[in-house]
Amino acid sequence: MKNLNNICLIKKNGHFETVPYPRNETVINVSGSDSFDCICLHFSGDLNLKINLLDKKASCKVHCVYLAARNEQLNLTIDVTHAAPDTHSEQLIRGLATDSSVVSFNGVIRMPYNSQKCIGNQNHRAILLSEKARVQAIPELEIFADDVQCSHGSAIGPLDKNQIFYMQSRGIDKKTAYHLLLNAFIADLIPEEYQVLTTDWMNTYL
Amino acid sequence: MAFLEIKDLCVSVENKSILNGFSLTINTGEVHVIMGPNGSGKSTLANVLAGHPAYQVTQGSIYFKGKDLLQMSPDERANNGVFLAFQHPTELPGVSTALFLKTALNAKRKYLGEKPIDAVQYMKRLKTRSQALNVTDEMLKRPVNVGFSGGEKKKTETFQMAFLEPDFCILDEMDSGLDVDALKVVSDGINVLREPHRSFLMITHFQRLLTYIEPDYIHIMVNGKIVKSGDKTLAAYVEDKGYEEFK
Repeated sequence: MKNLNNICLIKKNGHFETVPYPRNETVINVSGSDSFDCICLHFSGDLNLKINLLDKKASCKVHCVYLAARNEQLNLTIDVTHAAPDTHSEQLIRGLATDSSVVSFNGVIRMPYNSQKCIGNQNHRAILLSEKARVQAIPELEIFADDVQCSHGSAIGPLDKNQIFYMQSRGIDKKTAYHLLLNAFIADLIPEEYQVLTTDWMNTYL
Repeated sequence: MAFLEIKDLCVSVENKSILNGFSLTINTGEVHVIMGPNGSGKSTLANVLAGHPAYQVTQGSIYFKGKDLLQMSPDERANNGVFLAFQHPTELPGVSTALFLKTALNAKRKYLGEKPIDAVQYMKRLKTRSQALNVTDEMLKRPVNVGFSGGEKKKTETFQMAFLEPDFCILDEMDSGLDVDALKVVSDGINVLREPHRSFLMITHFQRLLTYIEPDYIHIMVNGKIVKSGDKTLAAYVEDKGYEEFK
């Protein structure tokens, strides 16, 4: 199969466009009432995004799907600073890990003293598809303001065997059942035209 | 050749023995009911028939239409015509009921060497079966069983059964948690499917389901085997006297 490269999409004028993948630590400053919306499809290596929301009404949405196989080691850091009041951030991360891959996700939300009325949400969920795969999630919330909304959640576990059995009991074979469930798990974060890549990945590694 | 022949079946879960020499023969077109106290192994029987991996068959045999059912994977059993309507249907987040049923139907067609169903035929079949069971378009778009009420889950189980048209329907406590109206809808849905080539095994605690669906045989199950069989009058007898004398 062809090599699956990491893909980063950034919203410009209402459309997502591919940009070179941020290899090293990348600082993004969002000013005015702009919104930084990005989607990352991550197969290998590191991702390190530092996002500063500089002005009132600035916002960011970071959606990331990681797919880890073989002995890949993935390190993902998404660090958002609400440097102005009334700024919004959202981090949605979904991951699949198989073989003996190791994933570390570090999601940071910083709300200093002047960040009143800010909203920050972070949600990370991962499915482990082998005995040896490892996923570690480290949510960090650094909150100094007293009038903010902030949430984080993380869930890591195997696929529910009862779901597989239920699908099999309707005539669907195990492999198709896995594909349906895993596609459903990540599909809403990835634009349709890129879902062929996740399907490729599943066909290769599951 | 019997439609279904279970002989001397012994089953355990995590080394705990649940079925102890269970035998039952069902012929084509018959409706059998299994009643019994809690923990007598009724749901275990249903799950074993469908091929749940958590149950270990330690002895005995199950032949379905002459084939060794125990040698088949759960999906092979389904594609051969076995259907289990679950007592507690599993939720499938993100998988719409419509996509789920299309995948299931095409899996069966592929197994039988047929082409996938075309979109028009599929929609027609979906509409006909869903309307009969008050399953709305909105429910078909929702992920399978996610956020469904108890009644909606039982209705969609019945609907899935009607849609997939299996030969052997196992109904595990389809009446539990249903109000009178929903019970009527579900029972009607089951009755419509009663045909000479199709057989039913219904597990229930209550006689009330049997006021809507008339069974051919009733079996009382205690400690993992059938202790008494009879016609529908047996249900009324149990309702009146309880299971004590069978234990």
